[in-house]
Order: sequence, then structure tokens, then C-alpha cells
Amino acid sequence: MNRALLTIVAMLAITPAMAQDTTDLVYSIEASASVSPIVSMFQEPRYPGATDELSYGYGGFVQVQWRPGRLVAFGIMTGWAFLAHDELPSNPTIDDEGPVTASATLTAIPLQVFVSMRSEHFKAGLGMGPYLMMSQLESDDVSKGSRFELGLTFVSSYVFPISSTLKIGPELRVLYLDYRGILSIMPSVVLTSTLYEY
Amino acid sequence: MMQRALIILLLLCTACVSELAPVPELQYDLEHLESTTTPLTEQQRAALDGVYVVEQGKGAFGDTVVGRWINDRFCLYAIHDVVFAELAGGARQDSIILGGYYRIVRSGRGATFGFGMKGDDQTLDGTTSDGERLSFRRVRDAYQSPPPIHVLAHRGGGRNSERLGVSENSMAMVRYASILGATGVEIDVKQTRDGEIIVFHDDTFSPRTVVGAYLLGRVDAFRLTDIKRYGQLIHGESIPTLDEMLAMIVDSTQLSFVWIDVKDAHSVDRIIKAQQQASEYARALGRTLEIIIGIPTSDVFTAFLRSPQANNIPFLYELDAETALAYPNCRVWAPRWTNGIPSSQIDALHAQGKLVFTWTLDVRDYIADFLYGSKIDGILTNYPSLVNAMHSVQY
Repeated sequence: MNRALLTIVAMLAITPAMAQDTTDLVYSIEASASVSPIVSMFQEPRYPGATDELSYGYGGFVQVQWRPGRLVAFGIMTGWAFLAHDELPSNPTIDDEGPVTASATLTAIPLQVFVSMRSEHFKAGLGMGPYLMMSQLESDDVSKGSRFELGLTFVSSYVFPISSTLKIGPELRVLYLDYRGILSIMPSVVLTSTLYEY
Repeated sequence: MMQRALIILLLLCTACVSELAPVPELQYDLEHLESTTTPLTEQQRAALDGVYVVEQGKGAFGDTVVGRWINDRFCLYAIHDVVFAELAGGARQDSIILGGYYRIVRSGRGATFGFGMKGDDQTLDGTTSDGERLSFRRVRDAYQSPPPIHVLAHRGGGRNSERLGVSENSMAMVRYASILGATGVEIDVKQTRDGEIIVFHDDTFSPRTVVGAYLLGRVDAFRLTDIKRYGQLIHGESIPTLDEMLAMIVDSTQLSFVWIDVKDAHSVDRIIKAQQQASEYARALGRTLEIIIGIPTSDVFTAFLRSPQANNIPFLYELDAETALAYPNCRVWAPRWTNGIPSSQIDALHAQGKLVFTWTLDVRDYIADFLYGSKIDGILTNYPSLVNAMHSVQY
């Protein structure tokens, strides 16, 4: 339901932007990068017996967008988000060969298309598409698993120019993996650069 | 053009995994009712078994239901849709009191309800928690074919999408399978990274099947200890090993048939070992239980034939009838139901003392075709209550 609503909003936003006059427009390619801490909320226990819904991590994202001289821009986004880390006590029913220290990490790599709208300083955008979810489990051995899952990334930022091609400002990024019930919030600093204009 | 492309792209990128609507919790304290009533005599229990005409309550149950004691539970199965009820109870003064719940599987609706039967009256009267009146009049005994048909429950009893409150392929689901009308179960097995066999259907762990943020991706990427430590099935059950599951079936159920659906060719030897151990254990306890290795593909069959015990292990073969006829230890031939009713092949297999099952049959009209128009020995289904009821109402 939420996704359908967002899709409609995004389409409504795009349609008038595309109807603008196409003469004397400056097209550009822009790149943005941001790094930040992450607070994640897990709807389901991360492992049997887990009681803490919150986890803390960090991450960085980059996006490249084509801006066709209008308010709207299109591009792709990727990055790396360290979502959770847990250390589990030894479980005698499982660890029948003696106590072990077990730890697990969960990371996510978005591979998404990104659509944004912006005014002079303010930008809001939506990333849509898969996340590569990866887990690593360590005890007396290491196991790694991965899987693509669909997700959304909401981004809003307010940037100031610091040179003719560079802008910087605060950004709020929200990752939403509804199939897995994970909501992550990332307050960050974003650096935006115009790579090419024509 | 560009707009159209963008709209399609947006729709693709926001395509979501559809979630099933939640179903009501149907909590009824069956044990309390049992403890506050006097246990029924065998005669009283036998008098309740049978076919009932629904006089009130047709909305949920249709025109006819079958009542059947499964151990200490009285179960009702409808024939117009996938509806089952689980009741407990006993005698109080001159009446029989029953209470429990019913569930309409495909819609997820259900309610708790109580029944009473006075004296020698053959009618169960009651009211649901929704205030609906129920009145079921017993008209005759249920049909029992010689030999009984095998009603095999898919994925241990039902898929997660059936929203039964227990997870597919869990030990709780297999224990529940009898209540759902099954006489046997089909379970799926996968091999872990360290060569252990778990009861699990999919190639990968996902939120469809497991809870646990760290258990994701291919099943064979994880060791059994990782799986036990970091994951649970979606209703909180532990993911069972094949050994644990088979021991539980022998010890705690009255199921008569287990179909082990082999998903990985390279796991055949380990599965044969588990099958042999559990079969010996069942024999030692005097249990009538057939545990059969299901061969769904030629790869699995090739691996099975390479096993040193291949000539001694009974197996179920899903491919051609000719191969099933050619191997003396092929106990069951199980073609897909969409291939139609193989009447001549059924006769040939029966002549060799083999059984014929079909899978996975959930469509009412086709269940009727196989039950009433063929000599099929068993049906694998997601709706064992429906197959059980449709079989039981025959004359």
C-alpha cells in the first residue's frame, strides 16, 4: 500500500516536470556521496531469543544522476550499509563439543534506480530496487549467506555550494526493507559534485 | 514514450511481495473441556463417527460434513470447501459436550464453537463465537475403502500460505497433520553445508520460511549449528533435522506413511541412512509406518542407484511408470495429477503389488475424478481435510 502511494506521488511529480520547454536547457551529470551512522529497527527478532529491536551500524552511499535541466533527475545508487552485529552466548543444546563464541553481522548493498526532485538547495528522492543482503556467521567456522531482496530508500538533503561544482549539506536517509521488516535511519553529511554539463 | 518507460520502471521497482492477510487466533481450551467432562465410552465415540447432514451452519460447512475421532479429538471435515474443525469434550449428565474451533482454510476465517448432543439424539447442536447456530444430524457411517486410501499432507501438513498457525515442515505441523485429516505426510529435505539433513522445502532461507535476520540465502551455505542458533521457522519452531522428525513421527503420531521428498541428489546416502534407522526403530516399537524415499528427478534417481543399498530400499518414483515397474523395490509410482488418470498403468502396478499416488491435488473436481473414477491408492494434497471428507462420504 505504502509503495503504491509512493509510486503515484513520484509519477505525479515527474509528469509536469517532463512537460517543460526543452529549449536552452543545461543537462548535467551529478554524483553524490554520503557516510553516516545507522540506527536500524527490526520488526522480528534477529535471532531466537533476541529482545533488542534496535541495532547500530554505519554505512556509505553513492549515487550518480542525470539531470535533464529540470527539477527531476534520474540515476543509480549503490553503497554499503552495516546494519547489525550480535554476539550470542554459547548454547549447550547446540554447542555439544564445548562452549563457543558466536557472532553475526548483517550488511546490505543497494543496487537501485534513483529518482529525485529538487529546488535550489533542497532535494528529495526515492531509490527503488534490490538490496543484496549479506550475513556472516562466525564461531569455530565462518558461514556466509546472501540474497537479493527488494527495498526502498528515501533521501532528503539540504545542500550549500562550497565551490562552482561542489555542494555540501545534511542529509536524512531512510532504508526500508519491508519483506524482512527492517527500517534504518541514517542522518548523514552529503557531498554533491557536478561531473559534466552539456 | 519516455513517460511510459518511466512509469513501467517505477512499477517494476516498487513491485512488492504480497503479504497474506492475518487470520484470527482461534484459542479454545480443549484440555480444560476434557478435564471438566467424563471421557466418552468407545460406544459413544463410535456413535459420533460418521456422515452428518448440516441443517444449520451451511454458510461455513456446506451441506455435508464428516465427523471422525482422531485419538482424543473429534474432527469435522467439510466437502464443499476446505473447512475443518477440531473439538474435544466428553459426557456431562445425560449429554455429550464438545467444544473447539473451525477454520475455513482458503479464506482464513474461523470461529470457536460448542456442541451438545442429548441422550440418543443423533444431532449435534451448538453456537459459534460469531453467534451462528449450528445443527448437524448424523445420517450414516463414513465410508471406509478396503484398503484405506492414503491421504498425504503436503509439506508435513500444509504450506505456510494456508495460515494454520504452525509452520510448514515443522514437527508441530506434522503432529497436527492427523487433525487436518491426513494419514501420512510428505516432507522435504535439504542438505546443510556440513552434510546434515534438515526438513525444509526451499533452496534458500527467506522471510517466507524463517525468522532470523542472519539466516538468509542458500541452505547449503550454513552449518546445522548456524541454522539452529540463528533461525526459527515462522511460527517459532526449531528447524528439524530429518532424524529428529522421523523419531518424532514414530514416537508421537499415528501416521502410517512418510514420503521423504529428496531435493538434493548428493544427499541421498545420508537420507537412506536416516530412513533405515527410523524404519528399524518403528519396527522395534511395532508401529505400522512406511517411510519411503521420494525420487522426483532423474538426477536423484541416478544418485539413488549408486547407493550400495539401492536394491533394498523402498522408494517412490515420480517419473515414468515403466521404470517404476522395472524395479522390484519401487513401492509407489507417483505421477503428477495433471497427467490425467493412468488407468491401465495403475492396473499394471497393482498387479505387481505396488501403489499409485498422485500429487499435489487440491482442486475439488479433480479430487473427485481421482477418488471416484480411478483405483488410485493415495493423494498428496495441501487440503487433507477435503480429500478425507470426499473419500468418507462415498457409499
